[in-house]
Amino acid sequence: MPKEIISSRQIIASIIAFIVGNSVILGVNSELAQDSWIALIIATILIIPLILIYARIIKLYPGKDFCQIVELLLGKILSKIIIILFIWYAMHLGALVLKFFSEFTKISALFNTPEIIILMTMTIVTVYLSKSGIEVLGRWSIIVCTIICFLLILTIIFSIPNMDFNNFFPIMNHDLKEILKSSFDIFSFPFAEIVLFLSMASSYSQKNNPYKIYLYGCLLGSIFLLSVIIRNVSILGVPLVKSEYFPSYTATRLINIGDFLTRIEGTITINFIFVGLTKTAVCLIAASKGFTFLFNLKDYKIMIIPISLLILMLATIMYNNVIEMFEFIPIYSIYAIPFQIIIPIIVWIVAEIKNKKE
Amino acid sequence: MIKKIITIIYLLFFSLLLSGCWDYTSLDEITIVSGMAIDQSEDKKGYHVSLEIFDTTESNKEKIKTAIIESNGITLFDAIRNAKKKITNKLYFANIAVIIVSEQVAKEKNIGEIIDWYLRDAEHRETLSFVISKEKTAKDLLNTKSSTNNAIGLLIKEIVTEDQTVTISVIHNEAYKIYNILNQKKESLVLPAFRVTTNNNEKAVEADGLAIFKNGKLIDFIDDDKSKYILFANNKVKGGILTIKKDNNIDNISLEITNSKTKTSFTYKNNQLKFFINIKTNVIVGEYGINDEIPYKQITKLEKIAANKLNKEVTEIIKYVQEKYNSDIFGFSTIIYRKDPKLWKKLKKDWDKIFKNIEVEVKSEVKIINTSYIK
Repeated sequence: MPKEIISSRQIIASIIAFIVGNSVILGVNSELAQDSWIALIIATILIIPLILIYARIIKLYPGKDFCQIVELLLGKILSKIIIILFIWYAMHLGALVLKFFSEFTKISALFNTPEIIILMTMTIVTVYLSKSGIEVLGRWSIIVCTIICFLLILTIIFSIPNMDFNNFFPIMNHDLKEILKSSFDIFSFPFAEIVLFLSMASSYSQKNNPYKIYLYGCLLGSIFLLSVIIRNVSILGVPLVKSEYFPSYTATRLINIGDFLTRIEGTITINFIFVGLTKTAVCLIAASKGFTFLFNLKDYKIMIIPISLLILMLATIMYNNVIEMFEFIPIYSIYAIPFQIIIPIIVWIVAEIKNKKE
Repeated sequence: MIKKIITIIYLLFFSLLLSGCWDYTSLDEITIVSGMAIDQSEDKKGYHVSLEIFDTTESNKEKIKTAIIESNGITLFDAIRNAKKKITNKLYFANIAVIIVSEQVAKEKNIGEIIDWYLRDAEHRETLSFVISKEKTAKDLLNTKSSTNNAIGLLIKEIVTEDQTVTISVIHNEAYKIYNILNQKKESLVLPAFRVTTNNNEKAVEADGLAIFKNGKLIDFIDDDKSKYILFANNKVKGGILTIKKDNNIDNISLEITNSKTKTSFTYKNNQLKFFINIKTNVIVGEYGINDEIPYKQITKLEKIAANKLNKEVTEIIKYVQEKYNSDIFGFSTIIYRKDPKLWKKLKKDWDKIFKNIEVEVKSEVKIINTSYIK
């Protein structure tokens, strides 16, 4: 199997698409409304040490995947358990993204279409994307990134007449405790989810500096989210942002330039389809790479279709209704701690100790 | 060869599956709604809705035809679905421009209930306008005729959206803004009021001042001549006419407003709130009354007269609203909350009592920037 190599620009682009992910329509943790930008900045600062750890792991073992590194460091049995956990996390995240997509489509546009059809169409494309390999994913991410940035700038420019920056006052009206809680939510969803990119580490070219890649990806993603927050809160106002499920979508619905340029909320849906595809594809690749190491297979691509079917099924049975889906978000940040923080840190510590000994 | 055959089979298979759309509705299967009037049903328990639809039964190139459908229901959504019993197509709400609420419904039911139904549905747009009917029923407004626009819903929407730059008599709030005002601290809502007049021997709609709300319920209407100054106090003026008098007893000078800005600030000393309203308006002399040149010295005098009139009228209307309605339509509570959330926490409990006793100082500055074509 020839080795797939993607450039650092492509990785950064896919990290941005990954972080932006669901926030394109969900907005960024809208509970705090006018203070959510503070929470976002705190979350960005909090994520930096963690991504430095991720980058350090890659730096210590260049050209190796996360699962390979785990296998090398932790022995047979323990590594298998960790890989299984990692696979579960990747699959669950993929299912979450798919489910968000289908629920959003069901509420906003395709009212009568059965959910499974929406999920299936999305899954077919995702499978095609991830079967094409990591190199294609990299090139695709560059295109996606350009499109979503362009559309974001477009919607912001068109929304200027609707904006009211008085909505941001009073600043810091929430307690520090609430703000920290919200920033922790943002920290785990979406920032720390980039732990899945560790499983693609073997495809990073040797020249690249992983520190730079992760930092750039996170900071640019954070800037993107910040502009989403500013757009949504300034247009919609605090009470509506708090009670809307899809504030970004509603904010673009209000665009009306001279009674001519209206109803461009479709752009937001395009954004979400593109970004959702990328995110699910990354999850799919991460999960199938995990399976290859678990069963000692040669190529990760053969596992993609079976895993995609599992993800599809998981997405259909995950929640009973949309309310549950949104109630899960605060729980998710606690649920994700072992996958996002504990496992990488254990791997990192062991790696450092072994490295010193050698 | 086998590969080719398989590909063709695949293509045929997918062309069958992908050519259709589950949620497909063609234009001839929908009835487009342009306006809606909400009344109380006769048994006083539910709603009686009248929907203005575009009549597409016969193609007519010159004029759009409209028709009205009425139906009853326990809830709003129920009433709208019941309309299907009378027509062939499903009603399509994405193009609805205005919802007219009757006085009775606005007085007895919280307007938030209607907004909640409206914003919840995916088909509706958040930029819809709400107006209150001054007539006996809201349906009366839809039953009028207009010389310029056949769909009354679209007509009312145009009147309401352009009012702030042309006639300054109503405050236009879109559905999403109404939601925010209803959920924002103690701020009260104002909506445009409409009535039926006769124009060239035909019934026609006309914007007629504002409807004042408190806690989501209508309490009273404010007339056209006074509502202008509410707009000044709320920083909603973008154009319009300000009439003043020089020496005579009747207003005979018209000043056309080019732009206007109102800044509101407050102080809190010795348990007494004091609000400062600073209005800065630029005007053009559009009508001078006397067939004569305006002397240079007269300009400053006119400016002073206009400023004094604004001061007097705005102070009066604020006092009037404070005493009669005790309803915070000027958004004072939101201003306090945004600038000083700690103070707001203290005042929140007895806001109703405090609002009544707020001292207001109005300072206006009117600048005449030109006198049009004639000196």
